[in-house]
Amino acid sequence: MSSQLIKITTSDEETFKVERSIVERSVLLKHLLSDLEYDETDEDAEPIPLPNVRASVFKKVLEWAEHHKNTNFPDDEDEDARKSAPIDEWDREFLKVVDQEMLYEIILAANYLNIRPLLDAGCKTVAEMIRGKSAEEIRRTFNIVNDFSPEEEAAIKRENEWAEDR
Amino acid sequence: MSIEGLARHPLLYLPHEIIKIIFTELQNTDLIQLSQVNKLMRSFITPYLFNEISLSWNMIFNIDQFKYKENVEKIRIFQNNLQNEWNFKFCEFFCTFNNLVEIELLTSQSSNFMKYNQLCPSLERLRIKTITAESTFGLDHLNLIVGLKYLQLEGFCLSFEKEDVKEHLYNIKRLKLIDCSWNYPFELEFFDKDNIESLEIIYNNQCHFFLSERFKEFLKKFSVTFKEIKHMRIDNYAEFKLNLSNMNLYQNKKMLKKLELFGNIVT
Repeated sequence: MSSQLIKITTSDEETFKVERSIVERSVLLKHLLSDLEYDETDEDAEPIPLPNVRASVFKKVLEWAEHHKNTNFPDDEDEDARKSAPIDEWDREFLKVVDQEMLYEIILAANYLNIRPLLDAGCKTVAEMIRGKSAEEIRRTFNIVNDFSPEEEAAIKRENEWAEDR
Repeated sequence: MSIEGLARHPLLYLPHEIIKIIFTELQNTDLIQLSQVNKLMRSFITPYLFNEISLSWNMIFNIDQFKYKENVEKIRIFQNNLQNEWNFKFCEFFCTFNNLVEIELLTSQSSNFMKYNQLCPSLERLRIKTITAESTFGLDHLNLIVGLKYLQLEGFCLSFEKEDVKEHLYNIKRLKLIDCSWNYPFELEFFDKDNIESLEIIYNNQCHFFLSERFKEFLKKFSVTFKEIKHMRIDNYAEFKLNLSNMNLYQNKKMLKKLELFGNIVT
């Protein structure tokens, strides 16, 4: 049955064999498969190259796609429904256990492969890491050094008064 | 920025379109904190931070002190002042803020003053709330705002003649009415019934117009009179029930794709 799988090669030359239904979670790959008229029953079919995704990241993306093989996501076009939806519990756990760098790489891969629900879950996870925190707490979370002088900090606070909600 | 510097801030490494999705998930208070994190983050966030600004009249008269005018797309005026409403030339906003497309305004009485304001062709979304219940709103008040796509009214009594509606002048696609009422001979369809695609009607405890026969008459036929209507939402947060049983809201099944009812409503 291995000939029934689609071959995909990542940027670091690792080749994955994946079921079509899982591959098609990626809108990019779905369109690519149909444009190429990819035939997974053909043993000699050339693997599809993914020059922008590393194997370790692609493995995580596949793990996500496998879990969500049968999930019905809101329409990509329905901005409101997507924005208001909370992060899926499984996605939350899935993204919580990876380190920050991997989280960014998963987000970048989801963006490149055009997997909207994974991209949204990743962005919402980053937003949750920022929400409700002070500038100092954000610096600690993301390991950022403060490069403002005390005078600059005071000037910024004055400028920001224009942005405050009232 | 050195490579190591970027590597230490992978958050800022993300492309613009992704940062944008992350920022839409956050409140302004979060963006304000983010903008104080470091210089790179500040330069990154400024366009979003001043995207929407809230102004008092005092701030409006001192707008020269504000640096980020190019970034402003929405202005909220949260203070009502009858004299300023009538004297201020709102068109000046559009010279000061080149990218302004939305205004939210608290007004003392009627929206009549807008009739005498200069043309604001780039205004796409307008939200007006009156602090005096039952103040009049007329569509002719918007005669000088030709590009309007979204209109939200709060606390008004709607009243204008069918003749006030100049053909092809209005392009309003979405209409949202909060605690609004209307009296004979006005019908809600005097708004562009061939153009409106989304209608949202919300009642809180301030206005009980939803109990009237006129409102029920409107509900009975809206899906047919509004020819392009795709979305209708009704919210009732008043203590009195809105009874919609025995009412067929779905007469125009072909167009109306989404009907949402929230709050104290019986079907």
